[in-house]
Amino acid sequence: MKFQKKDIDSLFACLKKEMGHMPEFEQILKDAHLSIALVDAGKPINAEINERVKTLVTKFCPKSQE
Amino acid sequence: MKKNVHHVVVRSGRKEAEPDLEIPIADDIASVPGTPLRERDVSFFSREYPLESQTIEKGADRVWIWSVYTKEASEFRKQHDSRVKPLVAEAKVSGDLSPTGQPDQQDDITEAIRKKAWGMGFGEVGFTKFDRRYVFASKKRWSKFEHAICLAYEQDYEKTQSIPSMDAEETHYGTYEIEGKIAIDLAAYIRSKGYRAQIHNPSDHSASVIAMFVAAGLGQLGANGQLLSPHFGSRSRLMIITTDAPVVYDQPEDYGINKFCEMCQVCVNRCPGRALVKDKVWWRGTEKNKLIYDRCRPVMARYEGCGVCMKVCPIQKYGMKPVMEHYVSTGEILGKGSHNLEGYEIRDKGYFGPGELPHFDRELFEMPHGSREEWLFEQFKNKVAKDGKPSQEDLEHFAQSVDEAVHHKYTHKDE
Repeated sequence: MKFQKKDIDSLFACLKKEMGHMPEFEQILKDAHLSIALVDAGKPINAEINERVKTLVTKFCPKSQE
Repeated sequence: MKKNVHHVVVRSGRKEAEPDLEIPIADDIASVPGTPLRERDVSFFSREYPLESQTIEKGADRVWIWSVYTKEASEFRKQHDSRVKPLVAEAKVSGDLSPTGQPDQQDDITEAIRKKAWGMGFGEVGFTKFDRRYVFASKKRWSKFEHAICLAYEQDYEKTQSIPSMDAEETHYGTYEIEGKIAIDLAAYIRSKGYRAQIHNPSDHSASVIAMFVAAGLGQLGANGQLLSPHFGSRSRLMIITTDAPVVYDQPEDYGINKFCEMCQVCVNRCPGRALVKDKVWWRGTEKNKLIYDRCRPVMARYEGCGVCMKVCPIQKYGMKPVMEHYVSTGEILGKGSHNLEGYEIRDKGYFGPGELPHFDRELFEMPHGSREEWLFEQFKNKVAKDGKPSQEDLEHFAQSVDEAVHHKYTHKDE
């Protein structure tokens, strides 16, 4: 099952709350969108993506919530 | 299914310290560097049917949009217009200014300008011939110098993902304001190096510039009609500076976009106004997806500039390298069919996920057509057909309106 709108909204609300103050937040957002796309495609998240982003994407992934 | 790599495009990093970007292009999407062109047709249409700014050619809807803007959009546009007015005025006379320094023959002026432009914040910088075949009829005499410096400024990522919204409009118009300002400094730098520079302000375009960006290797033309560049896809605003500095031209690249877009089609399928067309046509010597203006403009005008075609482009959202790597390893389009890429919200209509499109009544697509004077004549003709012989008052009103429209034509700025 792919990320649904509610999963995406929750993930980005959480990201903004936890990391929105960081100067590299734009890159964090880009990493998060790319990670969602990779997970949706059944691919592993790239090694160079921020660890916290990986953790949050995994947490909000609908597969892990099943 | 895994693909073979046909070639790898290497571009410098987004910022000076970043490593080069290596983009693998699969063999089944390799085509030609740049855009497929029929040079003789480009020249013929340019000579016999020269391009014109939409502000003039479609001037009637430029007036009409103010009647359908939301209050917030209208206020914002007025403020934006007042901020760009002095920038446009400065750009207009920039080509007349003399150099302030002496050329140094030891200088690599191309790389000096490129580095300076990057340092000022432009994300893509390239050099090519200022191709006069793409210059608007009303700007041909104004445009000076034979070399074009193609400059793309990335707009805010987060706001772009909120398209269509006022946040997105702020970054859209705000980016034009930023680059309009720094272009003044870049032109001054070129003059300090002993050469002339003319700023073509992005709020007062002089040409259809994407063709020059493609020629300079900064990307290829997407199915959404936008430049898809390696670092930020279509999430940028374009402008040029022309110069007499002896710059060395960059070359067009094949990023695989010509064929990739034929397979992707996300922008075509997601367009709220159904304005994008699946099949390419030959238009003025260029093979491209030709947008249906009359289905695009009314949605743009009412819904905060729309821009869904920019938002849902995977190259914009994820970057060209990950998208092309994913295509090589799977034969699939990254993000296609997902809410993350394809979902969007339209004010007062709600959320539309993959496969869902908003419905608009036919009346929404009714708007004035042609130039301001053509539209005035159309209205006048309809009035005569309905009411018979016009009164003296009608004639005077018509003459005054035409006078205003014609006067505006030669003092306009792009909207």
